[in-house]
Amino acid sequence: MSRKVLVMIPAYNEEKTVGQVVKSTLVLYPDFKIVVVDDGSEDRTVERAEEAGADVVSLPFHCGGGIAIQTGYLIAANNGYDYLVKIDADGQHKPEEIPKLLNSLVNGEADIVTGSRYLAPNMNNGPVVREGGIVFSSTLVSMFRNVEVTDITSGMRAWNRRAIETLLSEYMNRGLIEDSIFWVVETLLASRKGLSLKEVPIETFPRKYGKSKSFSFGKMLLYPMRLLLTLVEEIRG
Amino acid sequence: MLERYSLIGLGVSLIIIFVDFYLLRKRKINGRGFVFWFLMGVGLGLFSGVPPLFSIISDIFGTEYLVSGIMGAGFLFFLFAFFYLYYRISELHSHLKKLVMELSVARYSEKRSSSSDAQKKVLKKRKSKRK
Repeated sequence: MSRKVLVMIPAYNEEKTVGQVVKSTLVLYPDFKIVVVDDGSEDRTVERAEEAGADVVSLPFHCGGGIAIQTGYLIAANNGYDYLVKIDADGQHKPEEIPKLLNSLVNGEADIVTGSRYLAPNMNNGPVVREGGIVFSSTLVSMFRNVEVTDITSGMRAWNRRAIETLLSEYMNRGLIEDSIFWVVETLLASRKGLSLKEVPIETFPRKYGKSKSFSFGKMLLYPMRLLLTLVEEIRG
Repeated sequence: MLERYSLIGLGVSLIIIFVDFYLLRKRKINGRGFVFWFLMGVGLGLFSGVPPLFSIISDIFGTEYLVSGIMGAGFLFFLFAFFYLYYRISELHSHLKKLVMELSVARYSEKRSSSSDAQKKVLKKRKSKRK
């Protein structure tokens, strides 16, 4: 592939897994640029990522996943990358799945490609409440915007340059988006701005270390209200 | 029939809850702030709508009269002031995070260009040595 590809790995306190994720991605795709966006980690995430061969962009304090992801968009836009891929630093995503996402972008089938765990034959299930929330949100968003979405919170995604620039300009003019509904807002926004979305099946590993930062009891309580308000705003346009 | 101070308290609590939802919708307040002010609004509404609840607090403090009109008005004024300040801080926090993002990316770009400049210098030296 002659086009430039950036792989962004947002990371917050993932010293145990980030090194392996970077190494395995670099071995498979030595031509891709790997950037770890360190979201104010307090452990040795930065050292592990640099030792493994990634470039690291460090945010001076913990800003949340949404800001870390937008930082990735900014790096891709500023440095003229044609495609941006995101994988998680916790080792749940298989770097071997990256070509599935990229091929759809390169072939012009979509502007944004998401890896869906629910389309894969062997899915690793998380907590029931969380899985229920994901299915519910995905179904609701699919109905609202006439897009086929089965795994709206999937962390494995890819964007082409048009998608990056469109989304970045929108985010810069908006207030902060809460991490728990970031992907819901992005999916609705992308659809409204005429960006095409596609899902491809991916397989994931179960999380080995630590807990998910995107799921907590407090966030679970607030999530329905945030989702409802987001959808109300979407109706109002 | 509720007393006037109860009606005022209920009105203020409804305003707080309404503005809280509005700020959440406009993404001008974060999740924690929303929950805090929602609970404040509900708490104020509860105490305003059910005045006998005040007797529990006056029993705890061992006072006969919990609050006078001046204190009540002062409390509401500071509540509004506190709410406004919280909203402004939330807004500034949003701007700060965006600035942090741009600064981090700028630093990264500078680091990249200085390392590629250094690489070019090394290559130049090697070429001139070969000559």
